[in-house]
Amino acid sequence: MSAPAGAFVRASVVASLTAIEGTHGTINAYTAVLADRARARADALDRQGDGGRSLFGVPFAAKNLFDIAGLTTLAGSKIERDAAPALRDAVLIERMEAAGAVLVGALNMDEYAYGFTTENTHYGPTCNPHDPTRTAGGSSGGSGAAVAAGTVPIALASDTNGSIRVPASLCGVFGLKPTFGRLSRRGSYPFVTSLDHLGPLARDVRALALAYDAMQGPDTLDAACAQRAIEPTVARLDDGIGGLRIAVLGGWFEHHAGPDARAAVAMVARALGATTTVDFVAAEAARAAAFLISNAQGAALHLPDLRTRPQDFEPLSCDRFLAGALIPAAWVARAQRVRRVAAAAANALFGDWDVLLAPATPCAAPPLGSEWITIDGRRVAARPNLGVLTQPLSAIGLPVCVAPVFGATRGDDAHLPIGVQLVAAPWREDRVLRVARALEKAGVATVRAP
Amino acid sequence: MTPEQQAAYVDASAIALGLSIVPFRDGVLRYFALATDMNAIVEACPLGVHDESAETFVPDGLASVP
Repeated sequence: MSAPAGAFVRASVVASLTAIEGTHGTINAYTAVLADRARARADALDRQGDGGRSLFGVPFAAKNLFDIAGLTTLAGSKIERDAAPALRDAVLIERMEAAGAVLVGALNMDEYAYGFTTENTHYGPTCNPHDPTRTAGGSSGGSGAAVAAGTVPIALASDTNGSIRVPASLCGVFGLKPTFGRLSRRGSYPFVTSLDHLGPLARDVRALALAYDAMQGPDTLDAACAQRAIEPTVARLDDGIGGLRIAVLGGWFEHHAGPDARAAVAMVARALGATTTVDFVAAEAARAAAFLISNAQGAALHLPDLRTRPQDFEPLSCDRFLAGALIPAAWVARAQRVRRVAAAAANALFGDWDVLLAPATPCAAPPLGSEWITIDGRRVAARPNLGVLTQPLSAIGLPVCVAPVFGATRGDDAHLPIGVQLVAAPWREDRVLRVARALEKAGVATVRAP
Repeated sequence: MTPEQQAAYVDASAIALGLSIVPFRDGVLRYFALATDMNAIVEACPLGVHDESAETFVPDGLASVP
């Protein structure tokens, strides 16, 4: 593949398509490559010129739960193959392309976003670009791996319990889960509507912020989307951390982190001058509430198929979905009330602190197929516990940016990255992005080629 | 709930919902036991009658209905 001379966007898209082709066999990040669409759009953009568009000519890809016109929205499933193709792109894809970006593909994921490892029986596992024997994380494993492998600088994903942040941590890229309700979810396949967030992953903080800014804006057709004006972040990215009060989350977040995760937090805290540890005392309750709500609401969404074709579900999650369908309503109702109490406890912390630090995953990427991981000498089930540090924060909708750290891992994991969560009060994405940028400039948070 | 009570509840509620869990029953019982543990944590969180649900219905758009 080659681009005509002077065709800037065409060259950018061709480079991305070439990288996808070169890594697909080992990484398996993509479930569809939109070569014709991308080339046609690139040529159109080259004819138009950039027109001041912030993402002009930037290739990006989207988790395959985003609607893409003309494609069936799989959401990682076999069952949805029978559905009609989408008639139009998801709102966030439209907004990315309005800013000049070019969609090049759809990305692999855990079935119906219910998982943390992207070990998808129907479409194959997505492998970690830093070590293909390891998981890329999930459920947006394709998004994390596509960015880490260098096929695109930006990927879109969803995060209900950690599905942006776990792959960002394990693949070593930046990821932003915005405040619940910030970005429209219209045109995406739901998992748990009261917890679903959408957001970007990227190779650098500026790209992350550009994508986030481009996707902001109200949408009255998404019931959860806050009708807020756009609050741009890019212009203040380089303001530094002066004036920001930064502390480390202890308690739950220390107890459930292994030594490498704690080392990564210590590196980040040292770089930011954060010396105080505080406790979000409702973290365990928030996590338990999110578990019950996800299990019950996720299952209820699929009840007709669970009744008639359970054998067509992902074998790794079918029994979990079935169990969720049986959870008593009173448990879920109480869990929703506990979320609000937990949010109040977290908001009280933000009276004293602007940004809180926490590990993103208990450990670096485990080997594919791992049933168990060890956290501080305790042997725990791998798949649910990879999200044990992200789940309490998405349960209460806080904005979180994952900063990728190399050099914190040891022994057999020494070649792998691990992420640190930067957490702020609701609607303060600007603060977590500023801190992420400061860490990037200091060389503490970095994205490395595999 | 004891494991036996959980199994009885799972079997009865599966019938009520029209779900055939037979080939998946061991896994379903394992995950339901995990959900039971999570519920114990949620139950331990004190709530008052005025602690509202995080799910709030906002009747946007109804004003435009004639």
